[in-house]
Amino acid sequence: MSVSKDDRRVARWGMALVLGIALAFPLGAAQLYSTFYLDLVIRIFIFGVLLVGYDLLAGYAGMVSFGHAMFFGVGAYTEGLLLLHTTLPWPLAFGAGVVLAAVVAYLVGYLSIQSKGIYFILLTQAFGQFFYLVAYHWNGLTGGADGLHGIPKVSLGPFALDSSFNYYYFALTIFTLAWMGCRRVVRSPFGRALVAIRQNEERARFLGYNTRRYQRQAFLISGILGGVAGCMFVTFQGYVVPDFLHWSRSGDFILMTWLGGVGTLIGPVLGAGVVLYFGDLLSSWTQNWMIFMGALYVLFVLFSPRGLMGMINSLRWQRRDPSADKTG
Amino acid sequence: MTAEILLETQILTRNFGQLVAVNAVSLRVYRGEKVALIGPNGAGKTTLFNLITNKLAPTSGQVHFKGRDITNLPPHVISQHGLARSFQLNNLFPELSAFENMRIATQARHVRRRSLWLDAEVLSDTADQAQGLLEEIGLAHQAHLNAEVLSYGDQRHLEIGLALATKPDLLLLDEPTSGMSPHETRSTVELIQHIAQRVSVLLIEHDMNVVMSVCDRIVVMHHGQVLAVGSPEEIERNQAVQEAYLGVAQ
Repeated sequence: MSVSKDDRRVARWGMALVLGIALAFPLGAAQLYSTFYLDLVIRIFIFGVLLVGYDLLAGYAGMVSFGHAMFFGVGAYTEGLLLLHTTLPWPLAFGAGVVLAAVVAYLVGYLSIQSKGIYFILLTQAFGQFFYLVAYHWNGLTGGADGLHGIPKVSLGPFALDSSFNYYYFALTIFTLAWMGCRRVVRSPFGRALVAIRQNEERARFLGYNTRRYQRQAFLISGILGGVAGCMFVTFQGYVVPDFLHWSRSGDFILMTWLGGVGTLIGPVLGAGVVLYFGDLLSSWTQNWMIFMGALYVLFVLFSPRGLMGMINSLRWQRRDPSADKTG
Repeated sequence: MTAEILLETQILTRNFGQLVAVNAVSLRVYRGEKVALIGPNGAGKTTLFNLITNKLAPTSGQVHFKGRDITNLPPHVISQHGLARSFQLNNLFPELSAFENMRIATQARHVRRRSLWLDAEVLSDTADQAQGLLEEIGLAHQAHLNAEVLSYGDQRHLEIGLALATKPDLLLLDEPTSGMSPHETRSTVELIQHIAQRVSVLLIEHDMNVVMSVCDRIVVMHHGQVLAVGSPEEIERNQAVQEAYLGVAQ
């Protein structure tokens, strides 16, 4: 488990390099590559906020939610409606979206955690579909199938979030905070306990852990980050449609998480990159692009169950003297 | 005896349909005692443990621990009060290292156990205690191995170690030597004798050699009821016990 000083130094330089590239990336847009890629990376950051929280729940706590699109949707619709119909300053609208997502996450978590395994999965899916149907059918409030459009652009003080260039830095900042926060959580006593509870809930309870409370907290954190992602999306794209609450969206989050590497936090974000990039690429060639995504997913499950991160890690170990790992 | 009563069950009963698995059991464990709970298979010994720790809810009766009614408290609260148990079948965190198994157990008593922000590695006292306990149970050299790859005997010791790590006043041990070789049994007996110097023990055990070398009082259960209570010598001489249990066993 312990990491040597060399590894730490490499990791630190690696992080600095990645951060440098991330900061410089928008400068090349339009000249070096189409602005489409800038928007793509922004969407990866937005879904990344949701996915690090999703991985905390699914990967570390072992609770595979099949309804996470509901938190994204609740955040997006709440903020969108407030921006369309009120003069509330947008940070408050953003906050309101996150708070409502948190309330929904607390209630849905409280009720779903009563069940285990497949029943937990089905319950979260059922709750998710409830919110989808509300968004789809409550024409008067949510705009029904058309959703909400023309949500005004916002600015953060003098920093207008009206261009992809500016929004990129906003999304990068929020994503980095979410990721670093989740990294702290999984290394905290709470996070370690979550892993133990995943492996053997009964024993954890008999050691004195209030396991339900830990699970509810994990679900709440995860739902809040889903809400944050939804709120970011609505201020970036200026619209939201019921499709974003559909259960197949929740399925996408599962796909991204396992494709990238469950229980690694950053893996699912890489998974999102693959799914969003190849999804766009393949859908410009063929309508049946989901077939290829499905095949890719099957290949990963068969040959690299630890996902992209599993592949990256096994490459890293191979380069090194295997006997060095034992002592480290 | 003027010692403090640690555990007291009052006419504790549990029915499974028509079957009365535990039938009006009233027993006491005093602080500092090492009590054995023996009886033929199906006598209700493990069910009694499950009632005491509220893994199962009793049909009727009460459980008091350190003078407090704990009958309907959730298991994690009972554990926090200082009543720990081990399990008849190994009940570990299989994919965590032996060290992390133990650290999770010591962390359960740390005031900062709920922190989302601290680094768990910074709680050095939990790590130190975990290391010390691993040395006590003879697993210091296997600390980095996942619990699932430890030998069966080592897993049994870790099973006891996890319960001990919660710093209990009373330790309920459910057949700690089950499935062990004679050699492993001897080392387990030494471990329990060592542990019993600082915690009170209530022990379910089939091996009479273990019972005789560890315990100073024996409770015999049969058909869900307490058949006899007494010192090892008294129980050896007890006619009813011999008929119900020792006679069958020999």
